[in-house]
Amino acid sequence: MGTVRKEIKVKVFRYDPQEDAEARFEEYPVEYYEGMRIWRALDSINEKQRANIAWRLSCREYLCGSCTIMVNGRPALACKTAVEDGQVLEPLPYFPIVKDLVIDRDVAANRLIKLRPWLLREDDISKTEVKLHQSDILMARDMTQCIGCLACIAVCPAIKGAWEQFNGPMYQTLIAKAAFNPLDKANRVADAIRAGAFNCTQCGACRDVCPKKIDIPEKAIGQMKVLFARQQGDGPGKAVVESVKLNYNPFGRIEPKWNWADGLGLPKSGPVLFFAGCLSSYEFGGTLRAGVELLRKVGVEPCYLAQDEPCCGEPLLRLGYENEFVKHALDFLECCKLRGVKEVITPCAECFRAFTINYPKYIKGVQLPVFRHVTQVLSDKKGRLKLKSEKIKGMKVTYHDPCRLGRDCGVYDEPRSLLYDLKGVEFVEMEKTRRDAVCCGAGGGVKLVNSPFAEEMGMTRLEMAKQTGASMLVTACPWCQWNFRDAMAKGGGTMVLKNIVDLVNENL
Amino acid sequence: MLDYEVIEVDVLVVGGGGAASRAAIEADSAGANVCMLVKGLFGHSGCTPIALGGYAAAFGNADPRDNWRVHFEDTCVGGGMLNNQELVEILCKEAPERFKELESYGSIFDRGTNCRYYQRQLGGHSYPRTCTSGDRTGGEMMRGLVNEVYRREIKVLQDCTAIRLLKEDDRVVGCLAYELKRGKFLVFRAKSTILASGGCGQVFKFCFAPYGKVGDANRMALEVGAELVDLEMFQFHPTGYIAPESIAGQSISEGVRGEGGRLYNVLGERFMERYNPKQLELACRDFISRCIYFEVKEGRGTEDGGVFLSVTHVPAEIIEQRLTTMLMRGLNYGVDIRVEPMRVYPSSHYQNGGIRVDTTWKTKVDHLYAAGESAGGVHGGNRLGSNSLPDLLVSGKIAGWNAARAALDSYKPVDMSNFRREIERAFKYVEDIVSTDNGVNPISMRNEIKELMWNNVGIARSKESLTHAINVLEGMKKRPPRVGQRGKSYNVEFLEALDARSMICSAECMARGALMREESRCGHFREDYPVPKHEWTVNIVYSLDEDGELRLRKEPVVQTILDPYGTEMPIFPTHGRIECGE
Repeated sequence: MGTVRKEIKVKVFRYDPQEDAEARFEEYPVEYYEGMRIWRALDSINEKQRANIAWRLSCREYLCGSCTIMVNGRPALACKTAVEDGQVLEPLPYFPIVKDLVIDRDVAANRLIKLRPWLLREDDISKTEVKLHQSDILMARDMTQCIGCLACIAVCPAIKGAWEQFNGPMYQTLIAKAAFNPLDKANRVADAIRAGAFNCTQCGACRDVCPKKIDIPEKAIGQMKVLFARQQGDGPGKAVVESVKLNYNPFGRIEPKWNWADGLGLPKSGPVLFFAGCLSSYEFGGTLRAGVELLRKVGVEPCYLAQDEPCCGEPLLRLGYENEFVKHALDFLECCKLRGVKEVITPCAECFRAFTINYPKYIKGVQLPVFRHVTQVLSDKKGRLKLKSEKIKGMKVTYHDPCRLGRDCGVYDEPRSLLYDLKGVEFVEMEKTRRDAVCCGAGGGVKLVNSPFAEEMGMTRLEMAKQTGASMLVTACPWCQWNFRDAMAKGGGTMVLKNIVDLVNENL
Repeated sequence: MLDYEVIEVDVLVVGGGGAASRAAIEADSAGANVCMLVKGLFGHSGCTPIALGGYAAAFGNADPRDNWRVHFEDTCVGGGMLNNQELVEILCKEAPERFKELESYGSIFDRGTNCRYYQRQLGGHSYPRTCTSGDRTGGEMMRGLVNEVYRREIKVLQDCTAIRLLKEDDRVVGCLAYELKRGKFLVFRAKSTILASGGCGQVFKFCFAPYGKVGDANRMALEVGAELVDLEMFQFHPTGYIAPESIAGQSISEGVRGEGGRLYNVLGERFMERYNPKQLELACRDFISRCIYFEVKEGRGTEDGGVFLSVTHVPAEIIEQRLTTMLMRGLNYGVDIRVEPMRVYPSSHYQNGGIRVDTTWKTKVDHLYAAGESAGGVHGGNRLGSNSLPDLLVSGKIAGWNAARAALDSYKPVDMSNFRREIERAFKYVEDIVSTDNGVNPISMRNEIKELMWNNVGIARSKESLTHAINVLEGMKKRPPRVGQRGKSYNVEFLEALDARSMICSAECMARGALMREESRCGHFREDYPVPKHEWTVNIVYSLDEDGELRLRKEPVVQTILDPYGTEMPIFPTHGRIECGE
């Protein structure tokens, strides 16, 4: 049979609400072989230790969605995931616990019923073989890959607040299936919106844990927003679209956004472009100036479009306006071409994601410049930065991975490399970082259309930051910064909030 | 006696899969008050939501020559002519109608080039007639059925295990069940009961059957005087992963072969050319299983004890669109089926037999019905791929309708004092398990049964192996697990103890039937009787006598169109032939 055989230990959550006053963890030995899955470990614990751990199992082939539990704080299928020494096994959050690892799934079933997942149409097709083209059903089939395992629900930052604001990725996926089903005639898009599709930050945590790798943020939520935009003449997004077109920003502001650059002497054309981004231009001008100074210190001489810098277009996409986004992006790329731009550096994580993921996805046949985030450039060339070396007492900082920079684009190490080099500060990590980082709440257009809810989500993340004992929270995205700042103002904590660019600049 | 709660219902459906759901829907349509009792999670448990292959129905979309008669003949020939032809006729006639209903519940299925249902070729079918939704047809079907059950607000109790049926004279009047969530016992006073809780696949060590499928229906039916049929004919599916160890036993859909998959032995030979040059990898499952068995037994297998299944010659886009699940499963273990072969060996798959029913899917006992895998007779000695999903809907609808009619049309009221006595009797069964702890570990026993059955009552059987299995099972019957009181809610050990009893029952039937059937036919292979025998074109029927002992007898095959003795059947190999031809 297996090659490596040894004994390992796993910790299992034990709690019987009918008998126990409180929950506890028990550690159990397991006779391990290479590639052993968690379900076998649990079965063997129950057999050899007579532990009587309550757990669910059915197909053992990650097709049925019955066995989902939290493994080291991340939802996973017990039948699919390999067991490891020291693993901690817990039940899924947000549902009542029946016993040990078993949660009450009736709650989940009742939520499903509320969606009216059955076919809605006037006539009876039960005796008809309806003619359809295979291409008509592929989108619905994508959504129907969902096995209802609840992993996505377990990591969704928008549910943490309340189920009422956002019914959860899995349910949105199932509404999307009905929406894409050519046989269904109800207005499912309205259902999705009512259930909170616009309260989803599209942070991608759900996609990351989905055993079927369903692209929920883009194909379910994103697509629903697109359909909604087509349906509605005036949605919450319409004002944003107008603002982006006319005033080159999504906030409806008419005052100039290039004033932060006064006195910096930035040329208007050149091979390297500094793309400030609308939000930073209005709210975090100081950070932008620091960014330009740092770039110059590492030998980069950027140009800046000033009045001609448009919005990156991402808010258009977040609100479902695909065609507008494409038009807008093409204009920007044309401008880059005329100014001789070969490389674009931006300090904004949303812009960065728009450039590196959505531009290639939507724009075909146009040569794109190289897009980089400012932390990537600084990290690359940090040898040229002379950083302070004495330790500042009591300066403990922690870092929040912006979803756009981190989970979407995989940029985790570059910002950290800068933080590690700052000898003046002590860097501690939060419990959930990198791909497990919990969204600040601002993405997906939520900050623009439902700021109070975004702030609620922000407060949850601030709590996690507080738990590290750090006195400062550092981030690399102005949207995270903006939302955290607003959440703190509402009583979300007393930490100092700083953009990584400012922190580096202050530590020269 | 323990605490219990009484629930009154017209039709009780034990099970949560395709047949159970369709039966519940039909009973509800007929005006009955229905309750579904699901052992696990509704829409997640059992085989229907994970079924990969597809739904066979003679629409004639891929080939207009197809019709129900051809489907009928394929099914009977594939079944080794042991099928109850009355049931097969109904299956083949009604399969298309039942399929159309699914899209009205919210499912959506693949279309072919003519914008009609796509139909794929599977083993044993004369024409391509397997309708699909990618390689997740069962899942899509289940989703539609779940929707419809919810739409009709049919009562569904999840995490509920049926323990024992309650009887009055010659009819079933109710059921004792255990609700895991609250640790409560429920007594159903049901006018009709439908057993649709699948087969007994978990009695084998390597099985596609999900955890929990231990043949509860078989045991409960026998206990109240119903009969079983063809229990010895268990289907071994030719392609389950054999390596790496972490993936061993997991299923590889027949769809892989349907899209062109080829089998090779360790010498690189496409060995099906030797055994069946006409059908190759699309011969029946039992046939291919036996071929693989010989290849490995005669030393032409891989070092893990399997053979190779390859789709490397199939265009990647086809694999990505039509075999998505198989692709992703392989990738999870580092196997990219687009560029490398899979290592496979047969695994146990499907209970071909089951509870003996008539053309209304009623058992011998009044007001007791069976549907789906739980019911026997439709598939004879071997089920064709993609014949199960239509069986679920066809049998489910008919059982549901008839159960409802039996409940609603002049139902004789229950004798309450008898009912109370029945409850006491049922509880004695429970108390036997929880009153003491006799040190028999139910999980260990479960694993012993699985190992015993795989080694002795598996792909290759003999008088020695079967007798040995029966002796061990007899010993287990005398000392089943008694686990004492181990907590109230979600008591896993209690469930395992119940499961062990169901497993022993089905295992014993299978072993005794296999011993009695001195021939080889379909998936039942006797090394000491390696060829089919004319006189064994009969069904074995199982029942319990007054002393509760298992009795087996032969019954003639129910025939309508085809002569079971006169119809030509494929010749199965009795060993791996090295010479070509024959």
